[in-house]
Amino acid sequence: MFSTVLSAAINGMESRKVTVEADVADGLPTFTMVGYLASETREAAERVRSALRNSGLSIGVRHITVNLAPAALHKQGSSFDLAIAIALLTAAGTLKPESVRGILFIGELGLNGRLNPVRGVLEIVSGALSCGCETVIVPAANLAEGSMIRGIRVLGAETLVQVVCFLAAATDTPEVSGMNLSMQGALKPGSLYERRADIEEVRYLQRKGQNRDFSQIKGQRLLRRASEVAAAGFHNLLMIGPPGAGKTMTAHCLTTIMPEMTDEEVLEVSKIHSIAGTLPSEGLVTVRPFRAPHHTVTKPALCGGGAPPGPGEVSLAHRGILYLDEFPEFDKATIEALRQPLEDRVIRISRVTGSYSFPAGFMLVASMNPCRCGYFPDRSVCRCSNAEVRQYLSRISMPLLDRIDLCVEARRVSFEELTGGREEESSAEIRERVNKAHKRQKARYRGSACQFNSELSAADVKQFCRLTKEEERWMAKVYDSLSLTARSYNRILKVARTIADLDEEEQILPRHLSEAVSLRAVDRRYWDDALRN
Amino acid sequence: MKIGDTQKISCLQAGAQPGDELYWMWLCSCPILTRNEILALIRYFGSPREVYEAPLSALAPFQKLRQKWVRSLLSYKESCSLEKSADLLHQKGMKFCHPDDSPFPQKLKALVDCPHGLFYKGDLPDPDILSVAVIGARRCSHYGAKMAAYLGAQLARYKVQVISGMAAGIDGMAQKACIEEGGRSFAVLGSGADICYPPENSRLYRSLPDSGGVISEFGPATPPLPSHFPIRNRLICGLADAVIVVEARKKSGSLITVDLALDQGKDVYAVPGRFGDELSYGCNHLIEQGAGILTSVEEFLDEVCQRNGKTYKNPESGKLPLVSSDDHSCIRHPTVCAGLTPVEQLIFEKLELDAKGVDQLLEETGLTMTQLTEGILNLQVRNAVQEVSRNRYARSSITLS
Repeated sequence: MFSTVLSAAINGMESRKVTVEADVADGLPTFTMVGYLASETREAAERVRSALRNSGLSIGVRHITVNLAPAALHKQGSSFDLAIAIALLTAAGTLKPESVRGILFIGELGLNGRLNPVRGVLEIVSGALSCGCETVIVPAANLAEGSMIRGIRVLGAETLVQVVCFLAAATDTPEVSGMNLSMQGALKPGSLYERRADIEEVRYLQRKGQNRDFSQIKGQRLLRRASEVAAAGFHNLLMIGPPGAGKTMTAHCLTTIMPEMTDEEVLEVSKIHSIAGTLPSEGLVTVRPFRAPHHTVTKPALCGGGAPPGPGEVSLAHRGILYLDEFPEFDKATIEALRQPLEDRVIRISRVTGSYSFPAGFMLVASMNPCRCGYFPDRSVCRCSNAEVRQYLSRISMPLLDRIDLCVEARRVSFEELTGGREEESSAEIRERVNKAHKRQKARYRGSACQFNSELSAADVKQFCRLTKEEERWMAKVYDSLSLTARSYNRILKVARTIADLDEEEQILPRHLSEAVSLRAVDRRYWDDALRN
Repeated sequence: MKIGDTQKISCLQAGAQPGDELYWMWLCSCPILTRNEILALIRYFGSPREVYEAPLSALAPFQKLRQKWVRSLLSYKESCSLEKSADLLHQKGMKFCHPDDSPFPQKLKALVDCPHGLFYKGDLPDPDILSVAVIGARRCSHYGAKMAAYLGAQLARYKVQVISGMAAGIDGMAQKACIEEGGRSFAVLGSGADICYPPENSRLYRSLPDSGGVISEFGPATPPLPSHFPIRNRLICGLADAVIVVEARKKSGSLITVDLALDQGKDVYAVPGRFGDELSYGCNHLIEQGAGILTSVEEFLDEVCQRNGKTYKNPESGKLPLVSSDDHSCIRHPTVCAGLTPVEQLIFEKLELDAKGVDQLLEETGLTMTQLTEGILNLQVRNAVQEVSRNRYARSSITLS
């Protein structure tokens, strides 16, 4: 007999409906699986057969053929196991075909019939909703994320038997394959888990779990201020300083002063993490992600890749921070690949099998030592020759530096500051100011493509960062005396816009400009100045 | 000076014939050949003319040595004629002078290891005018760099010639400032005089021939080998009447120069530094050993002139004001302070020649971030303050005019 059951596969960032077809017939006892399958998907045959037997759900010695349609789509992963098992039981006549209608099955089977969690449930459930399914049955461990999608019934099951009981009870099938369902002890028919989604609860739990706060950073007023400006305008930030100055710590804390993500953003970010398998047990990512890949990271790991491509670090850092410690140590070719996502906030990966795009709207925070030993320009400690310093700096790509708006010096904190009693501002206080600045930006850019000051194009800068005549004259003097470039001038204006927003001023004032100048991005000439001394 | 050496030199001079200079130039241009090896050749052949005219077979006794310089000399003899090397020198705009020639500095003739000749671009130092060597660390602090620039400029105003090695750091800074102030400066190189080393001083190198000279005892196209620098140091102090050390570490090449200067009987002055400052350790150590302490350029010049029987010219305009680091410096410098707001004055007072970070300035001035950055930027526009490296600021110069 023949049967079909619904399941789904993840392709890039999208869920694709997959129909699992099973044919159980008399003949030689074989188990054939077709439909362009990866090897772990093909192995489902062994898992399903054992799981059925160990659950007491034998379908006898039969000639079995399973097809996963559409056959042109390459399928990988172990998430079809449950659907295959149900399709077999339906084809064998154990379950009635109408009992599986409109239900989408997702889950990996253990040999004992247990359902193990799989990746990408969030996206699959929202895909199921849009293609008209009423119910999705997922492994219990994936229920938390699955239930976050409203408008569709999501049920969690721990074992295959639970699912079978549920389906049998729904169509009033008292006996399954000689097994009396009412005898299954604690497993009452129809008792699959259901859960009410509550993003607020997850937010509360995850916020409580955060143990980093800006009040832990002692001294470093410049660094604190730069972080605030970066968070307020979503500007990329470069920190230069000797080892042990607290660069990494600051980067970690930066996520705590960024505004909270909206519910849509939470779902968007959680989907990426669900597909990558990095979702926390609460089922959602509600705090902004912080990704800090080591400098040995490969290009596919950073940007996304594989066959078919999965999200890389840039996508996992979407709406959060991508922190690159020891910036000059990263492979140049790998780092260059960041240029396009920094510009477009999305990364497109093209393969022979198709083109995939992943969101990549991250804030780049990089840190580096000023030279190999880390102490330049303190010449009483630094023994690097000028040529060595230049060589160290030349490892950073200039086009990438052009996309970093802010640059600050981090310095070693003295013992007094570290232990001194001064109370530092907490993240919550800073976040309040940042939130206000965000609101101003949102109001200003309503209806335009950009959301933050950092995204302004050269034309937008002219429109939104207008200076008065007097300020323009003053900036002309600054431009000459600091030998700025046109590009760096534009970036100063953007940062000044953010500082003015933090200050709740609609007009950019000289004090905003001068602070922006002190935080301005580096260019090649800046290092030449330091070396010329 | 050893008596033997004097005799050698005088005997060479006695045998000199007209046109010999050309042969000397040819011999000194030979790659790899050092002073001692040239001396050995002259001792064997009698004069450079004979070295030039001798057949290759005559070099057989040297060939037994199987040394690099002999091979170099053989191929040089084969490939480079007298005319060719003279042409080459002319093309590069270089001149040559042998100790017998009149322009050769008298001061160098007194050296035990007087070079056999000097290649130079521009001029040689004027023997009638006071010459002072300003030397110091290549990797210097902002303070050292500004101090060197100050000394270079001051000496230029007193029409004193500044001798140095055109190295990165102190040397280059002093020479640049001297030329900018319209003075005359001479660089003694550790490479051929046609090679600019270090390359970052290329602008200085190009301007030196017009406002002084570039001097080397090494032939054209000689690369700047590490072994050349201690050798050329003797010429730096040899050409100078006095030596000023601006910044030097405990083990510093500048201290080698100082030892050579003392051997030559030259006055050595050191710019004092702070206790515990690694870059000033060498200078403070020199002072401990009895070197002169440089506190004022005028006093320094008075002392040196007295000893050397020379005079220096007073600059046309008044003295450059020296900024002392006490808190009232602003009051004494109305030119800087005119038009400064109280906040800017406060910041300027707290700034020194040693760079300070923003955090430190915030602490010391008690200003807010906005006030501080605005003040600093205004001072930067006025060119009173310089951003030495990212977010670290210092006064831009010692003299403020």
